Amino acid sequence: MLEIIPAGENSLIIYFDKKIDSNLLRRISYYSETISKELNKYIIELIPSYVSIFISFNLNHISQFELIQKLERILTKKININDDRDIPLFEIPVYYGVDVGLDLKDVLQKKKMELDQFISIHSQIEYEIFAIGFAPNFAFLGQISNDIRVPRLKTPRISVPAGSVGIADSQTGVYPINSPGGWNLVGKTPLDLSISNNEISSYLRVGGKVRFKPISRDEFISQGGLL
Amino acid sequence: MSIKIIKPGILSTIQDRGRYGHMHHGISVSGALDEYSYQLGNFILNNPCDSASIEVTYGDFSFLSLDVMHICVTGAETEISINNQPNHLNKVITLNQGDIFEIKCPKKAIRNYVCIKGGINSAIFYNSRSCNVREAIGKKITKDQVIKTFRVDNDNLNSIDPSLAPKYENDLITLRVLPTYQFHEFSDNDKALFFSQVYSISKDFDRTGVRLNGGKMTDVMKGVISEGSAVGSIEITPKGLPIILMRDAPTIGGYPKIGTVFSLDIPYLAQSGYGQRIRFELMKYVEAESERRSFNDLFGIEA
Repeated sequence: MLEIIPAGENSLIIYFDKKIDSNLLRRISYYSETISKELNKYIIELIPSYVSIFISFNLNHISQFELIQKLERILTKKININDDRDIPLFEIPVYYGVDVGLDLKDVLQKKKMELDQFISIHSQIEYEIFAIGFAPNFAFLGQISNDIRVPRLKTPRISVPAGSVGIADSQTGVYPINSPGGWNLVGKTPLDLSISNNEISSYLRVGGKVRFKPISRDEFISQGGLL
Repeated sequence: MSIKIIKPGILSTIQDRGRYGHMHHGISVSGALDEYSYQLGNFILNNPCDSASIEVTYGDFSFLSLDVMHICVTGAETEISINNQPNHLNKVITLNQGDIFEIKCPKKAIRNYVCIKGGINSAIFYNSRSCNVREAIGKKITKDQVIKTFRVDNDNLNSIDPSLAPKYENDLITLRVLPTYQFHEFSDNDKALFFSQVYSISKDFDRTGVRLNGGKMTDVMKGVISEGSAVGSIEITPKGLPIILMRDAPTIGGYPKIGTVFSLDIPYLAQSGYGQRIRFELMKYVEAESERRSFNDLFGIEA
């Protein structure tokens, strides 16, 4: 399935599939780069997300119709995505503790699990970034192990502190700024993941990889973490 | 050159044309919601089309001018004054050092743009001076805040025929909609309802989005896999009612969308408050493209 559908007078969306998976993510990430490079002079925004790529373009230089033709040319070319492109792994230190992970106790109870077990399950997987949105630099990471999946909170919190690590269904992620949020909070990172931190934006891209590194409460504090 | 805020009003923020090219980081476009009034003010002052101005919501705004400067106020019909002497929208006003400029609460529309010759010289973040409170980019303007403006050497100014200024006094506005995203997946009944009924703006409306009240659609799909959202896209919630996404909205979202409001009709929505009656009408892409291009040409907008 491949569909290009308008999203506005100067925007469109490319749907690649109706199901989320890792192979598709690699294709989407490949095409995002290729389109950005080859059609750079026309493209204003390009948002890859799970199964689609949203594009807004410069109407002064190209029409919707012409752009769709150019996109079709790129999208129908045979590609080899098995190339072992170096995808940088971004490591995020996390203190898993009930004093910062306000839902950790509940999650452990629901899953009838010890904290150590939870930590090893949550931190052993190399997660992939399926989408970025909701807030600047909020990366939707998947997929978390079946053993620790819980639904999102029935009532979202009005304010979740920046740095909080959350889980909801098959996804996990870090709140980069204070914001409302409905995910179960299980820990906190001392890292500044907001867009003010220029060093991380090259890692936080759709298709990128993330792993959580467990740290102690003392390490969390010494790295600047706020309880 | 600078001004000092006396009354900030409920919500006044610095806005320029917007923050483009960073949506893949989850950064919204932001920028002046009523693009027409914003461009008009800068055009009259002969400013570049991306000069930063002050977007004042619901008036009740005043400042002290600390230098001699030219300003132009556009947008909602309202009383404005210099040292309590009434003045007019949509024309150049010269302020002297020590003058007090004031905007009263507008009667019907809700937003004014205070454009200043040379533009506002505030911090740039990701290529833009626009404030986005939700994203913690910038803050709303506060009492006693000093706002700097660029010094300009040229005194080139424009004037316009006042009849060219947009009017926001309609009891019922029609927003033109492009059939985008999941348009074809909505049932015929739901589409018929959407394009025939008169909606009204609920109490939930801000720079992020505008929620509408009205008759509810009945066969709305549960949700879609989160996808990039255009400004103006019309999400339909599981309850069957629309939310129109504005410039501060999150960049991706998972509600199905029945269409996208044409960008040049957004200013009319941006000027509307609680209870405003709204109806929708289908628009052809070719018309939208050509109208948008003419607008870009008129104001010298590059994209």
